[in-house]
Amino acid sequence: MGELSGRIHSFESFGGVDGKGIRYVIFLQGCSGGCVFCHNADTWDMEGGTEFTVSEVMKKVESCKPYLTLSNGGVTVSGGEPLNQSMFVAELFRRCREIGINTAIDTSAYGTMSDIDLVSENLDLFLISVKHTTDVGHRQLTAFERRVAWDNIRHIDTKGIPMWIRFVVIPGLTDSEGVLRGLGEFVGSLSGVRRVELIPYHTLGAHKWRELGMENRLEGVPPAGDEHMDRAANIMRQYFSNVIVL
Amino acid sequence: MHVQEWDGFEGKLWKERIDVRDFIQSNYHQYNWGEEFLASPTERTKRLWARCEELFEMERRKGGVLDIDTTTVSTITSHGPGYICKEDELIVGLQTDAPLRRAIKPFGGIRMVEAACEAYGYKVDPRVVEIFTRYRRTHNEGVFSVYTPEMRAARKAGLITGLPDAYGRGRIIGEYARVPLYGVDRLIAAKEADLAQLPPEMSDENMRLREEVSDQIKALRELKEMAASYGFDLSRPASNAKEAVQWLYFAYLAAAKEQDGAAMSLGRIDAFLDVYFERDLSSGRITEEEAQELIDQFVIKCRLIKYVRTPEYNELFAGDPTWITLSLGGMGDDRRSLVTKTAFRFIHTLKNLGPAPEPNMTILWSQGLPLPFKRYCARISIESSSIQYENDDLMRSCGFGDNYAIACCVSAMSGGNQMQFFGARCNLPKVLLMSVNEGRDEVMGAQIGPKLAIPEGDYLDYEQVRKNLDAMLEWMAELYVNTMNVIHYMHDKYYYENVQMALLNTHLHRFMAFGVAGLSVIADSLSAIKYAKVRAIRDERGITKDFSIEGDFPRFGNDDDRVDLIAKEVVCSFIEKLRKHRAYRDAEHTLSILTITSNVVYGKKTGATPDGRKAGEAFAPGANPMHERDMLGALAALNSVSKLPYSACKDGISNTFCIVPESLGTTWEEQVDNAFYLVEGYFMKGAHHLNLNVIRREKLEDAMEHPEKYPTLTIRVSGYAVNFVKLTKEQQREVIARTFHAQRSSHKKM
Repeated sequence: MGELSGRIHSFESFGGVDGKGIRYVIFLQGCSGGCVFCHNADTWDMEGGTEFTVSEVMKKVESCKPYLTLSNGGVTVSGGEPLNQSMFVAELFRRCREIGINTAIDTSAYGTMSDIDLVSENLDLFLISVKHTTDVGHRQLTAFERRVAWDNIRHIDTKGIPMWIRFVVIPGLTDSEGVLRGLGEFVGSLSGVRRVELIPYHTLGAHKWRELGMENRLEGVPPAGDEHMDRAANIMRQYFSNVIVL
Repeated sequence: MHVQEWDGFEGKLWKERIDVRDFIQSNYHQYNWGEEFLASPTERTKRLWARCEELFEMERRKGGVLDIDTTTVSTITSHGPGYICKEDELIVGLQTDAPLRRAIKPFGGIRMVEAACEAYGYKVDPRVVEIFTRYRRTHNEGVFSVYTPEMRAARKAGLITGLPDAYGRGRIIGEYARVPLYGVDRLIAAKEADLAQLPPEMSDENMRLREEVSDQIKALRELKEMAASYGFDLSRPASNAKEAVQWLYFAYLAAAKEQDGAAMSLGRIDAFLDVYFERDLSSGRITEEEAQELIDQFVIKCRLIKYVRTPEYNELFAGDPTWITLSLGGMGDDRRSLVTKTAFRFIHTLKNLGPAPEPNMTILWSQGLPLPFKRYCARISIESSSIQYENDDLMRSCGFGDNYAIACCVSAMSGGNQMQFFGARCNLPKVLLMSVNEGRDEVMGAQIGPKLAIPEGDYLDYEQVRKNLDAMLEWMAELYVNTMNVIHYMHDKYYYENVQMALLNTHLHRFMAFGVAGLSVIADSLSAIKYAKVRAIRDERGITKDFSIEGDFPRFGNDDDRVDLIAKEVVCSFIEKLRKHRAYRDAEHTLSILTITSNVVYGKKTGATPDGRKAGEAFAPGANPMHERDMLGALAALNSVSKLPYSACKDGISNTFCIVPESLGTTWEEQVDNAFYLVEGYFMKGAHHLNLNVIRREKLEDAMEHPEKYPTLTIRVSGYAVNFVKLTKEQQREVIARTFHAQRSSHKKM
């Protein structure tokens, strides 16, 4: 049997915003989350991307090792939805741990619990994107059920692996007081959250929808301004102290 | 003998002989803490700087030059004292009798001076023209009387360009600290003793050296005379911090009055001056505010240094730079850090006076430097994009010792005992094109190099091309060394740096610094020929006008050995070929990968290349990957450059790096940390130099549209910094076209 390989959309050898320190970010190909605000719709296609073996990826990572270890950074697997390639990710993380490289995964927690268990084996940090706090809102924004993600997040919380929760503030869709308080309460109910990142919705990725010939369901929704973000952050801080606006 | 000015100073050796390094090592205090102690500018400094800013604005409105003295030939003593506003000036001395009034220096070449003056609406006094055409030969005339037709052709085609054959060669760093430490009389005595020691045999070399040392002594006397006109007696050593700064500045000013070298670097003076500051601070003679005031005012003087340059010169070296390169920090051989409070004080001028390209702040970065200093540098880099970093551990391990400084952008030289013959650069992509065009220039069609056979077959065959390239580089190397020998022989003869050389040892180690441009273009071109299928499209002359490429190929900047090692092979092979030919005065051959801003002009003069680059398109600067061909993000790009061996390129490997602030990190603290680790990691990989720009492309685009909004917007281009608004539109567009590393995160990816 040949070596395990994964479908990869692209690499970013210098990541400064996907976990602690300098990160080597690997964007996996394939996602069925269907988020309407996604800026990487070109990573959805499960058949796209290029195949790389774990060793090929590790070679790239290792040549950046001084930067990653000096800065207390490491590898972040993003996507796409990395849980779709959990075997590959698990093997990659195992190899990283072997040479002392810190690991993080950027996920929407949309996968099976066994996917979660697999990737968690050698994992240092979960970056979890929470999409919405109500079932109806979640269905409006994504192609999967809120309870799947939230059950998985609660499951992750039992593992003792630190989590950063990320949430995109979309005017009129995810910025109501009720939604934000729902998020606050959810975060408050978890023990492993170390940081909450609020991400302003922006329209800079809109062109990708056009290029892919796909319908942009957020056409006409304005970007989130500073006042939106300040308000959202103030609400969140009533539940959790370490809230960062990106 | 008791020297009163040295009271409180330790050490022995430096008192017995001229040895600034020993003085520093015996007396400096390491500073291992942060920037908390730094002081704001005084009212006096603020008033003085405000006046200077008015003058700069007037200069900008007048089209770049405020005034030229077209009648007086600039020498150390040519002009009477000049002031900006005397009552606010703590450190005095200007190049002429008025601020921003530029002086003419026709010893390098009278035609260049005439052309530069005319470009700004001035006319050189006919008497000066007559003297320098009829009675006095210039460096430029000397060179051209010896140049062979082959040299002229190579120069005209842009194969070797930017040669210092019409103006000062620069890149020599006088050890200016000698003047405050010893006083001029002691330095004269030392040179007189050297002269007496020279061998009696009157060989060419001995006679030349005797004449040079005599000229050096004369220049030292003139330095005293110039300082006396401002009311200072430089015959004795400086007795306090203020005098130390003033004496040192006069020494530098004398050089700037005598020479107009492309780079008039200041050297390494931070720990030296710090000794004087510490002595005065500990005895209560000055306060921190006064210490900072001296540095601020010294830096103001550096920012006012100007030369008369032609528009063509500005194409090569854009933005009116003077490369007053100031080397800061570094480690000692004894493993003590050389970071002092004065290193902080110099960097702090970027805050007190605002960002500016000069002096060219250069951090000698070592793994061993104190963390607070490195974090401070990273922070100021993010705020000002005005700092460059060079790998101190690497340079020390390559024999430069712990008292070297950087000239220009990336050229290391040991203080006081080394100098270099500056030699611009050779256009490598053009050499490649000549090797597939029978030695003809692809633009003009002229036969310049050896007539090698055109590689056979429909597609370019890698082995055949490499063989031709090797032969062409062999020819190029010989021609390049010979051309440089002509230039520097004539420069020594007609435009010798009297005062700078007076502040160096009489017996010196000399480098001859060759350079290359377009390294990533030639590497990608060879990679395309090797890994894809490249067909040459030829015009009616049979010369390549374009290339068609089938298939993909690895590109420099993606951490891919298949192409990165080609780049390495090219530089290693070129330096080996250069070394085969004896350099003037037995100089040691070195090589730089540095373009300044000439990557634009070089590209303009070069036809389409096999990597898919179109005719006339700019090269990437220095050792940078070609714009937007680095697809794997910043570290992969840095990794490719760090594979280029410094041992083959001891004159420096320049990398200019742009990153968007938000990509560095989420919070301010994370941005500072990651910038710091970026530099640290890069140097751990054995790389040499990094220009760190933390800026958004949109800001530069806005500055192109509305220059008036960004008078001080500073950006590092290639080993130096410029006011962005002073670049030509073409250069601005090239800077904007460079890769800006913007991280793609799952939410921010665009």
